[in-house]
This record gives sequence, structure tokens and C-alpha cells, in this order.
Amino acid sequence: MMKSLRCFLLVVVHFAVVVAAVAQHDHTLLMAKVEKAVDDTSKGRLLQEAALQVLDSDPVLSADYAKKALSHMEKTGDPASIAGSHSVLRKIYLTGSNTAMALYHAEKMLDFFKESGNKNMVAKASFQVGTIQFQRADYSAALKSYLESLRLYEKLEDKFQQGIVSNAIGTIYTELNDFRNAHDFLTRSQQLARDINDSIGIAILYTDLGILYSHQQKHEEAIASFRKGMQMMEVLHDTSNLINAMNNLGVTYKKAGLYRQALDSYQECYRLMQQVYPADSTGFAKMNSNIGTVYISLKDYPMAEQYLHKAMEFTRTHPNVALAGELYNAYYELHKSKGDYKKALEYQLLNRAMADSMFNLQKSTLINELQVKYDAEKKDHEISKLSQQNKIKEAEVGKQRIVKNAFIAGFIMILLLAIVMFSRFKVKQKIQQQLEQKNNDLQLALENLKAAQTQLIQSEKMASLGQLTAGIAHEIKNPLNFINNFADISGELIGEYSEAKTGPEKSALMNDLSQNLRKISEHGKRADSIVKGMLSHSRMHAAEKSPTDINRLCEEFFSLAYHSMRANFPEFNCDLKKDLSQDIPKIHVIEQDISRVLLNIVSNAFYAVKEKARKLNGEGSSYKPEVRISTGMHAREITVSIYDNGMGIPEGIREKIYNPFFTTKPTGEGTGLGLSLSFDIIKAHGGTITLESRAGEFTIFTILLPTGEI
Amino acid sequence: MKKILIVDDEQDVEPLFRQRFRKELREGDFTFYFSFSAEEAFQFISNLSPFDIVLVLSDINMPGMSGLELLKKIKADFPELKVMMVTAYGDEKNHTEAIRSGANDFITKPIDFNHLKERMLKL
Repeated sequence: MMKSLRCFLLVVVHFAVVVAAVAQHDHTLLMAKVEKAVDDTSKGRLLQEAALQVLDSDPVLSADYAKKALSHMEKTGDPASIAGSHSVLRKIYLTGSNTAMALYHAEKMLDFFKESGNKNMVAKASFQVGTIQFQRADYSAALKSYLESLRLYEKLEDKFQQGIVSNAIGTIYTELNDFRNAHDFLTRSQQLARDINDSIGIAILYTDLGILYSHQQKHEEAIASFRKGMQMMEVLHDTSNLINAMNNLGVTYKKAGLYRQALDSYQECYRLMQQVYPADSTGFAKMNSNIGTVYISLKDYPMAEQYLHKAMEFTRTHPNVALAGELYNAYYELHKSKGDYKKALEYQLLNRAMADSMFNLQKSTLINELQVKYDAEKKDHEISKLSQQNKIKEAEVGKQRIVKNAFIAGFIMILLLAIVMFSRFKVKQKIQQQLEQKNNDLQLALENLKAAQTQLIQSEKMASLGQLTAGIAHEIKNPLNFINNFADISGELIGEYSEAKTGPEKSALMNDLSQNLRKISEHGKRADSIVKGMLSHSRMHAAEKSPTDINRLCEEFFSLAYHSMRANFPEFNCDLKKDLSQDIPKIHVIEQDISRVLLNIVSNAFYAVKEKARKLNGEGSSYKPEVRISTGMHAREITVSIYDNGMGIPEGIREKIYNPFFTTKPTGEGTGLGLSLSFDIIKAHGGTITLESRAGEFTIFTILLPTGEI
Repeated sequence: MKKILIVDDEQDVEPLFRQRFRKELREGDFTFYFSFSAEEAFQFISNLSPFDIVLVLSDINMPGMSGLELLKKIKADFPELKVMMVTAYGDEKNHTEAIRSGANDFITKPIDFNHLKERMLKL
């Protein structure tokens, strides 16, 4: 088996070498003939032959020969020969996907046929021009050319060609989402195919109608149409059209959410491609990308990654901007579905960058095309000028006429230049407009994003506020208990004082009274600070920096977070330890922002120990939840460390914890914005947050804030 | 004379109770003991021998061991000892949890002392 395969390969390689040698040989022979040929017509014909021969192996040389052929043909002045040269050039540029130049030559051909009055050829050339315009996504121009072609074929009563042109028109209308016209033309085309018993035509039309239905979101009709066409194609052994239908069937299944069926279609398609186009590596890469995205929808991420990886490998060796963009998008979806938002974001950025470079590429291609076109026209002109000069010499016309001709030539040159400059200016203007449009779009997107962000921050504020309110409402009852009762007692004590007889009795009562008043004032202040904490938390504006005692904030929010936890989970308890350094200076910060950070991190710490206690509950464990907050100075920065001996943060998710919407809490318990906001706030203050953790054992968040002193 | 243990992490409960019950204290109806954490309270109860505390008044929310845990431990080791829970968190959840864990009564802060006295006498 292995041996026979190797033999086969050897034969193939040998055969290829022979073919190349033959081509090389023929080509040298041809060039020798060109040298020997006497008249321009033979030289042109031989050069055209040479051009077509080297087209596959050396497209650049091929174009070069064809251009030379054209200049020879132009010297002969025979319009048919010139048109033939344009036809060859059109073919060469189409092979090289240089649609701008292909269009230029196709239009030249069309002009020639119009001149000569051959209606059949005008119809054909119009169709060719339309097809190139369609490839260039210039749909309105393509439509115009196709309609012109159709009108002529109708006059010529050529039903076969009418069917083909109608089909093309229907496809354009589908692209333009003009479904009524698309349906009209496609069904008309299919009817024409039926009239002349063109089975392949009928089958292809089922595919095109299917694509139309798919665009219209009529998935069931689309699938039925594809299937009808595919049945016919199988009977007709038309595998290439079958592959196309099968691929579109897969696309429709995916759109309809029938992922298993989509997968089956794509895989069958892949199998057929291996039979018919084993060398079409671009096709396989696209199919791998398709299959990969279906696996994402099926949530089979390892398979998705495997297929996307294959496609990605291909783009590394064969740069393909469109496919790479698709793949980045697929990877973005993949990582988003997996919950890996950081990677998702990376791919989204890559995709964005790709879109930008595609836009730039289009822009530079456009400019290049114009440049090439301009050069070609200039060359054409020089050639005609030279031949004209030759003729002048031969005829020995007077000097005056040369001057006149030169003047005309110069004038034409200037006119031509002006036209080219004007069209370049127009294109520039168009690009400018496109850029402006894009800018506006981006500006709008940015504004929308900002609005969404404000809204999210607001909802995060409200969420944490709601979480706190319960704690605060209860917490305020503790000082209230003392205020009410000490006030009551004091009233009673005054009554007793007026009835008291002895001095020591009176002074004891007086002592109690003054102590009570002190207690009332103390607990009043405590209640006040609790309410202040709540207010500062909900305040939306007035984000001004002011000298702030970080220790005070730590104490306030440590206790607030604790009590909020207790309010929500009465069972919860925990050892609280505070180790606040008295050496730290007041620093300029936005108090409510820093409060929010402390509240977030401390709340997370409480949550972590609560979860660990809940997990170990019933296992007879001697786990003692502990949360510590400490402050200190480190170089010229204030450090705030929050330690908990809770669940810890597994290594795998440490990088994600600052990502917006990343949360390990059950749905509804965390917004996933807390740490993300905290990170932004500390960054905005010129500080840093660092994390140290061991899964299942502990977590330490350390905030560093610059004192601003030098 | 009724010996009563009051458990609360807020130290100001001591002057509060002493003043509120100053008549009863003067007349020797009650004796108050104060513990500022549940751990300390349980230690205190366990060390009393022969056992002569009749009532424990405990806060629920305290750092470290919570009032509810203390309640459960007391009910496990000293089932005849009466326990009254006093808390700022007077919600249904806390209440049912306390009663299910064997609390003899449950009152909320701010404390209405006339009400408290009535309840204490009933127990």
C-alpha cells in the first residue's frame, strides 16, 4: 500500500517536471518565432499564445507578453485583433484577481463589439463586464450591464443565455436584499431552463432560490429548495454544484439553529471537496472554519478549537484577510462561550484590527489600481504617439504638422492627465467620505459604549447599595438601643435626684446622669457615621479628592461589610482582626471611590470565608473563619492589606478576576463588576492592587496608594 | 435571687442593664453577669458548678462565635438553662432559627425594658 502510493507520487512528480519542461521548451520556441515573425499581426498572435501558455506558471510574464501583443495589434490598426488582445488580457487579470484591470479590458472589448454592431458579442461582453463588476461588489453597475445583456439576448431569442443572465440578476437582487425582484428573476430563469430542458440550470436555480429564502429567514423553504437541487445534481453527477449547494445548506441549517444537521452537511461537503478539488486548500480552510463555528454552537469546544486551529494554520502560510477576520471572530465567540473573557477580548481586538487593515488594504488597492490604470493609459498613449511619429516620418510631412501633432498630443496628454487627476480626486473624495462615515460610526459606537458603561457603573452602585442597606438598617438599631434607653433612664434619674436626700446619693445619680449623656452622644455619633457611610456610597457626583484618613475608611467599611454579611446570612460569623498603623498620613483621594474598593474587597473576603465554612460544614472541621485588615507604609505608599483564610483564588482564574462581569458567585449574587471597578479606581489614583492566594487556603489583596509626598 | 448572664459584644450593655434594673439590683432580686463574647460566656457557664444561672440573655451578632451557636451549645450541654435572644436583626429568618435552636424567647433591639422585664418574669 505504502509502496504503491510512493510510486504514484514519484510518477506524479515526474509527470509535473516533464510538463514544465515541455512548456518551457514550447515557450522558448514561440519566443524565437516571435523574433522571426515579420508583421505585427503574427508577432501579436504568437505573443498571445505565449501569454496563455505561461499564465499558470508565471502570471506576471503572461501579462507582459499580452501587453506586448496588444501594442503589436494596435500598430496593425485592426479592431478585431485589438479586441482579441483585450480579451486575452481580461482573462489573465481575472486569473490574477486583478478585477480593476480585467474590467478595463472587458470594457474595451465591449466598446469594440458595440462599434462593430455584433449584438450577440455585445450581449456576451456586457455579461462579462457585469460579472467583473459583481465581483467588485459594484452591484448597481453590474445590474446595469446584466440588464443590457438580458435585453439583447431577449431580442436574439437566446433562451439559454437569458436564463443565465436572469440567474445572475436574481443573485444580485438577493445580495441587495430586494427579495421580490430576486424571486422574480430567479423563477423566470428556472422557467427558461425548464423550457429548454436544461437540467443543470434547473438544479442550480434551486440552490440560488434556496440562498434567497435563506436571506429571507425562510429556513424551511430554503432547505427544501437546496435538497431538490441536490437530488438533481446527484443524478446528473454534477459534483461541483452539489458542493456549493451542500455548503449553503450547512449555512442555512446553522442559521436555523440545527447545528447537528449543519455539521453533517459541512462534513459531507468536505468529503466531496476531497474527491473533486483535492488541491483547493483555501476551500478546505474555509470549510474547517465553518465546521469549527458549528462546534462552538454545539458547545463542543475542544473540537471547535481543533478545526479553527487547522484553518488558522492555513492563514499563517496563505495570508487571507477575510478568512482571518472570520476566524478571529470565531475565536472570540469560542472564548466568550467558554467564559474566558480576556481571550475573547483579545480576539475581538484582533478582529477589529483586521477590519481596519482590510479597510486600509481596500483603500491602497484602489489607489494602486488607479495608478496602474493611469500608467497603462499613458503607455497606450505613448505607443500611439510613437507610431504616429513613425508614420509622419515615412510620409515626410512638414515640420509644421509635427509641431501641430505634438501640440495635439500634448494637449491630449494634459486632458488625459486632467481626467485622471479628476477621477483620482473623486476617489480621494470618496475615500475621505468613507473615512468620515467610519469616524462617525466609531464616534457613535464610543458614545453608546460610554452610556452603557455609566449605566453599568450605576447598576453596580445600586447593587452594592442594596446589599448594604439591609446591614445598615439593622446596624443603626444598636446605637439606637443605647440612645433610647439611656435617655429614658436619665429622665428617671432626674426624678430620683430631686427626691434624693443625702449628698453621696445625689452625687452618684449625678455621675450616672453625666455618663448617660456621654453615652447618648457617643451612640448618636455612631448612628450618624453609619448613615454618612451609606450616603457617601450612593452619592453619584461630587467626585472630588480630599485629604482622607484611610484608617477611618478601613474601620467604617470593614464593619459595614461585616454587618451587611450578618444581615444577609445570620449564621455567618468570623474573627475580625484590625491592625491599623497609626503612622500613615492622610492622603488625597476620592473618598467614596476608595470606600467602594474597600467595601468590595472586604465583602469578597467575607464571602470567601463564608463559602469555605459552608463547604466544610458537617465535616466536623475545626475551621475558624478569619478576616484581617491592616494598613502600613511601604516606601512612599500606603498599603492596605485584606487577608482572609477562605476559599482562595485558583491559579487559573487569577488573571480574570478584574475582568468586567467575571464572577464566581451564583447568578444574581454578584454583578462581576466589583473588582473591575476597584481596579479602575485604584489605577485612577495612581495606585496598584496585587493579589496573593493559595487555592483553598487564603487570599491577600494588597492595595498600594501613593501618598503624593516626595 | 435570680442570676442572669448577659452576652453582648457591646460593652455599654453593662451600664445600661445596671441602670435599668437598678431597683431590682438594689433589692437583690437579680444578679447580673456580663460576657462580651459567646466564647467567654460558654466558658463562664461551663465553669459554674453547681450550676446556678437561671437565664442567659444573648445577642446574636457578635464577632467569633455567634449567639445562635452559643444557644445551640447551651441547649446541648445544659438543656434546662433558659436562653433569651436579643438582636437588632428581628427578621423572620433569625427568629425561626433561634426558636428552632431551642431559644425560650426572642426580643429585638432597641430593647423595651418594661417588655423585657415582663418576659423575664414569665420564664
